[in-house]
Amino acid sequence: MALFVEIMTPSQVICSQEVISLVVDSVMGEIEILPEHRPIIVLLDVGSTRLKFSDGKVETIATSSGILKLENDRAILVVEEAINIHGLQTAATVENAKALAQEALKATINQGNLEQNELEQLEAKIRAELNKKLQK
Amino acid sequence: MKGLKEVKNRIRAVDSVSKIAQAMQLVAVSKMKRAQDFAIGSRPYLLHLSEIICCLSEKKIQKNRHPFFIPREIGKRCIIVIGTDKGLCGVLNNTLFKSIPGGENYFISVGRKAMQFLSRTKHPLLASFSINDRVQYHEVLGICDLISKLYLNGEIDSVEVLYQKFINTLTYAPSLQRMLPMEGFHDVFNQMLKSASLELEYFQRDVRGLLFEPDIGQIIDHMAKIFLKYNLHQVLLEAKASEHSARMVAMKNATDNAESLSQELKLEYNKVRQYAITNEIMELAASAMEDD
Repeated sequence: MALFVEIMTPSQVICSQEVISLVVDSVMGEIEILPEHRPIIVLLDVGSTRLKFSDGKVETIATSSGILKLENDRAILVVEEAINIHGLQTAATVENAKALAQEALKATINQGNLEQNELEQLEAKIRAELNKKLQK
Repeated sequence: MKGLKEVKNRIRAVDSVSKIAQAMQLVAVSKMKRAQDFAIGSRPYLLHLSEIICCLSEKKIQKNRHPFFIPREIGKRCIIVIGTDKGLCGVLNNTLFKSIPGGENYFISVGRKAMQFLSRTKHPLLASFSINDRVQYHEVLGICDLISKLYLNGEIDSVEVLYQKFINTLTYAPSLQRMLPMEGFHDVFNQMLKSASLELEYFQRDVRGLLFEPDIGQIIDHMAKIFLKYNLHQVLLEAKASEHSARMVAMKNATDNAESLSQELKLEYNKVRQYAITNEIMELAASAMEDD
């Protein structure tokens, strides 16, 4: 049993995924929607939309006011703005940053013998890069 | 005749102007493309909106009619004039300002040039907004808030937008479009779909009864606001596309002019140079003859 969720803003499609549960902030309060729910149209308030996946992961998306329509286990959220706060995207960027740093390190090691202080400098650079990415 | 150095300096100046104009032309082309892409990018949003609208029957909408859809006797009009922030776009702003309707109207300006014109000509200006080149959706929210408040309070009876309608890259025409009051609910929506060249699709309906949370009236209220915002956003995108295409054409003309001017100046430079050489030879010849 799964629920198909699509989140739309006028500029882009924020997400289009299968989930096992969807929690939204309506103007009346929080609503959790599970598969096989009755068809419903909900007026959404500014708040967070949480998607729970079958592997247990939870993704939070900040959404502005809008409308949710659910019919035949297909939920459509039409909102003005939406931002993926700490979803899979951030993890991917951090992984990417780490991989890039490792590659850069390897490349320098292969180039020639590395002094201890140079190695320390590089490590400091990696840490700074990682911090930057995390802050983003 | 001008000196050699003077002509040379002018050639250099004209060449650099031509380079700048060409760069601006390229920038305008890419910005225009972006505005057009954005207009196309909002299609999925519109399609999904149509899925929701399919669930609302005409009967239910008539029962919960939003003030935006109720026709009014028009007394005080409010006109939103969409100009540009920067100049260098040919006659774009001038032709737009010429088509500002007469009579006692209120005005809202978008863009610095529109603000300057309306305040200089002493039109009653209610507010002045500025929209950046990216025309993000949240930028229209402020304008929509203001006009819906004024409209619902009865301070204005209609809202119209005056902007340069984008026809193609070379042509645009001043156009006055009414935003409020809107016509029928489904009519407005069909028009929105038509402008995005989409058809209203009817989706398979769930047989179980539809629930509304909190109630259908509030959902229709929200829909009306979405219509207003979406339409205004589309108009702004179109105005931006016109602005960039006008700038592109103006800059193309400037580049061409600069190039022909540079050609003329080069000819003049050669003439001056030749004149100087001839003079020198004549002087030499004259002095040689004197020596004899």
